[in-house]
Amino acid sequence: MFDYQLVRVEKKIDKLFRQGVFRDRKIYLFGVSENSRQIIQILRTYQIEPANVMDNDRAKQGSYCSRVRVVPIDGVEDLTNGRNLYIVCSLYWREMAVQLQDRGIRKENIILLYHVESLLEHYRHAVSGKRIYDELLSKYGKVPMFVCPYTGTGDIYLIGTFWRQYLERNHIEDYVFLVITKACEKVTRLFGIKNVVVFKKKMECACLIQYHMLCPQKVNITLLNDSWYQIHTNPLEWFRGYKGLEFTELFRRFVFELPDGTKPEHPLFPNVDSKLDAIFQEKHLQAGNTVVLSPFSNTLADLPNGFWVGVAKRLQQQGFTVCTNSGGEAEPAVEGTAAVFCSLEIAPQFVERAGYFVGVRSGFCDIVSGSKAKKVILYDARNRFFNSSAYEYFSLRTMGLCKDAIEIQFEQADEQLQDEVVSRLKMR
Amino acid sequence: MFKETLHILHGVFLWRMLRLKYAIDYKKVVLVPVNEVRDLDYYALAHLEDYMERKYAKEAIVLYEGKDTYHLAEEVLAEYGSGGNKVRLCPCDRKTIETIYDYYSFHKFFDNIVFTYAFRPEDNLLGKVLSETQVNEEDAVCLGLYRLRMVLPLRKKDKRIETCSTISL
Repeated sequence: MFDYQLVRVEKKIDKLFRQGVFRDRKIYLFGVSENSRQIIQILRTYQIEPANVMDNDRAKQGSYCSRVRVVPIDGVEDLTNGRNLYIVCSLYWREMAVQLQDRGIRKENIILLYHVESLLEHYRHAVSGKRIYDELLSKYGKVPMFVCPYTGTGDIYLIGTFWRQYLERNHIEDYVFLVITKACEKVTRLFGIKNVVVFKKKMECACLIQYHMLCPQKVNITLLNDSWYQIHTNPLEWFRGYKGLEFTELFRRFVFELPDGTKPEHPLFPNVDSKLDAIFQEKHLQAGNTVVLSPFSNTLADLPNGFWVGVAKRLQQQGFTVCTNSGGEAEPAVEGTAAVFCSLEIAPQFVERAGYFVGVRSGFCDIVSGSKAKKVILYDARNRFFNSSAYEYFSLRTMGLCKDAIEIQFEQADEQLQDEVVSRLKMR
Repeated sequence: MFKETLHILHGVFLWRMLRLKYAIDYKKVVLVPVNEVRDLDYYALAHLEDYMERKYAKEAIVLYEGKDTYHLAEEVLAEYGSGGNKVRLCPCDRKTIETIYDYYSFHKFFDNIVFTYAFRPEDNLLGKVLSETQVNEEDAVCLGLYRLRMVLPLRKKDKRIETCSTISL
């Protein structure tokens, strides 16, 4: 969801909350998706914890979406109970609503949060996009514009690993590189990408793309993504993980059109010792004997908090100092560990100096993949990403980002897994 | 931008005419085999029943241009059918299809419509996927165009096909 869509959903939920609609109700969301994850986060701000996320995809059933268990529709107890509320926020809301109604769920128990944008809205966006495009043109001249419309820092990192080769091959010297978050901008700095513009609002990016959709011949922008949902005429995302089309391969072929055999390149990490010294001193961390925990993921499944507490305790018992890569209140440190907010542009050096890294697969793993630290990356075996498992699609080894990471697929986030993580980390 | 806006508005008008003429609503799906990649058209017709099932539709409108596509549709639907659902073959001239598709490319005006373009607009990478990877036309239809999440086996079943008279818009 773009920020303006998110604001709309937040307002709707707030209104429903004020009306008491959620009181004494069991909440179910339909579909494991980014939208559902965002809605779960919003509901939690009202101390509402959804009972389950429903999904028709058998591979997703039994896994977790933002720590909420995923079940099939018929796995919901007492499906037609009037106290159940079903939240739908998907492009496929029509089919979803029919499925619920076919099972006897009444319309008033279904909350549709998906907003279908009208032609007029799209046209207004395109008009705004023209203004944005013209401003960029007047500032940077008629140069190619590259747009990264997503928040995924891992995607930006992957872009960066091909960037030098792409520019050389296409003889591009001057350009504008557009991103939608400060975090993404920080990742671009690792690669020395120039003329990086951060949109003030994510919506501006959507508007620019909408203008491109109206006037594709006039608007010289390139989307740096294999398949962006706003461009609904490009179905490439539906082949993700199919017949060997994994993450790096899709970017190499379809974003950059680089020849077979082209490998991603990590950046050269500059010396940031003075910044690292300050962090290590302040947090009482030991160089070469610290484990950086990274428990948060936006795209893939999370692990329960208890798991991380267990891992941290075990590591401390083994003599490690342990810290958590924390993004503030929304991403708090694991209990008993130091919270470190490590700026992404120095994250690889930070992890390298710490010596050890344990993380659930996230964009942060891409960013630190080039560091020489010992890394354990965790993948929920039931976590699917389009046509493959998350591991098959995002494995750092398959992606060509690193050969030394210990990548573990797990079925259960239990004590056995905690022991395995610690023993694999200690293994020489 | 003015020219493009007029073009889109033309598409809006043409789509509205079609929608009225064939009473298109969400109980129907619309397939437009555009005769760009013939095998895509073939599998789109052959898996039409699967698409209708996914969309909970009871009827399909196949908008075709030219005799080749008509014969292909007749042949494929005769073999694979539509699971007893009604399928109407309706002629439509190329210019109309293209204009409506340009409108669709700007604004997704209807969730139950599928065009089999593989190279239009420029952002559509389906043709590139077909030519450069092991993804074949049946995969492309099931996964990319119909979003069935898997490549389903083809099933031969009864059919009910109607043909429409030529429309003039």
